[in-house]
Amino acid sequence: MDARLITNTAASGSWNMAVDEALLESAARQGVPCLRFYQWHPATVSLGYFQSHRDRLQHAASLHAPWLRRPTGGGAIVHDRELTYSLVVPDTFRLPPEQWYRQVHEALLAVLRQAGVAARIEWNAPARSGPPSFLCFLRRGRFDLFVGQHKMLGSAQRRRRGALLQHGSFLLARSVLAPEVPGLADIAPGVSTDVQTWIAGWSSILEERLGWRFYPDEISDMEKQKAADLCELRYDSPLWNLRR
Amino acid sequence: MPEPEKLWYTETHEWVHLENDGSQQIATVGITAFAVEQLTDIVYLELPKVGRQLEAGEEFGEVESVKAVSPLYCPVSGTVIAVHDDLPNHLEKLSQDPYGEGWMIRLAVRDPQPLERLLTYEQYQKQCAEGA
Repeated sequence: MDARLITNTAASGSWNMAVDEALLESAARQGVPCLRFYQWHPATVSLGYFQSHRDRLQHAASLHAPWLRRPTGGGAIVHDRELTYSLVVPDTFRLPPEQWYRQVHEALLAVLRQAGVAARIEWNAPARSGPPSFLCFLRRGRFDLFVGQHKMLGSAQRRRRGALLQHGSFLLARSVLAPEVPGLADIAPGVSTDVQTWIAGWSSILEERLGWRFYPDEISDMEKQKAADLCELRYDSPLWNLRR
Repeated sequence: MPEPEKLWYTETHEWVHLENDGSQQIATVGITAFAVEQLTDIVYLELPKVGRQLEAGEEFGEVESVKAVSPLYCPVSGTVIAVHDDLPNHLEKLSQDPYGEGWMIRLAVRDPQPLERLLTYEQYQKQCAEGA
């Protein structure tokens, strides 16, 4: 099975979310999976789809940063010194949706272990105790990836008829906008934080695990147009971002 | 509410109960026990407002479970006449009584309904057994 592999330079949060949604529509229409890697500029806070924008007041360090609402669930993420991936998979791949968390997280686990980092995956759903933390990286969920006690990779999904979008954030280093959350460089000093190295290793192991063959690709003109429309309709719009 | 055997179903795991109320047909809609089990831990639910016009196959709400947001699809076309507003605060009802207290919306059905798009209980059971 051939699958698209897109590596983008850093872009605004609204553009990144709009592109992910445009790729989701393409996957549903064309039946081709796509793996994309990207970063965010400027540093931006993304809220989980069901989070209230008022919850931002709980987190002083990121209060003045740009922010938006993601199409996916979970908690807030400070996208600063991190690498984001997105994976869109057509429904024709009949894997239970939760198993995509496992596939992507286990692939990064293998790359981390190759780099000498003692990482692990949370296999069980931890019992809920009290209201969830504002930040995704202070929450514990099934399939989350940890180094020591610190979560390094968290993912979330948007499911729709025809395809599934999963995206997630791999923390490379601590951000001044979320000083309570360390990244890889803070707990495994000396390990590379070069994003191209991680992209190459991660995509290569995923290719092997899934039996796919990634080919380098770009966002098509039609997808760019769709993303521009989605920026206006949703990710740059107060109607979307302030809806809760 | 009638037993699950007397309901209609969608391929996307919604159920619908159709009944006649005078000259009007009323549809009550929810999600199936299979869907609730597959979604595992539902933490948020959003439902539409009364008065919304919906087409069969259109999204009428959304749920979040295990950090995944999933749409709910309307089985029939019509106007929303009642919403189970209390349900998002009592999500346990979805697993305890998905075909009764777990109802989500009621619609005044717009005629004629394309019922051939819906599944019978037997057809839906077969779909679930096949792992769809």
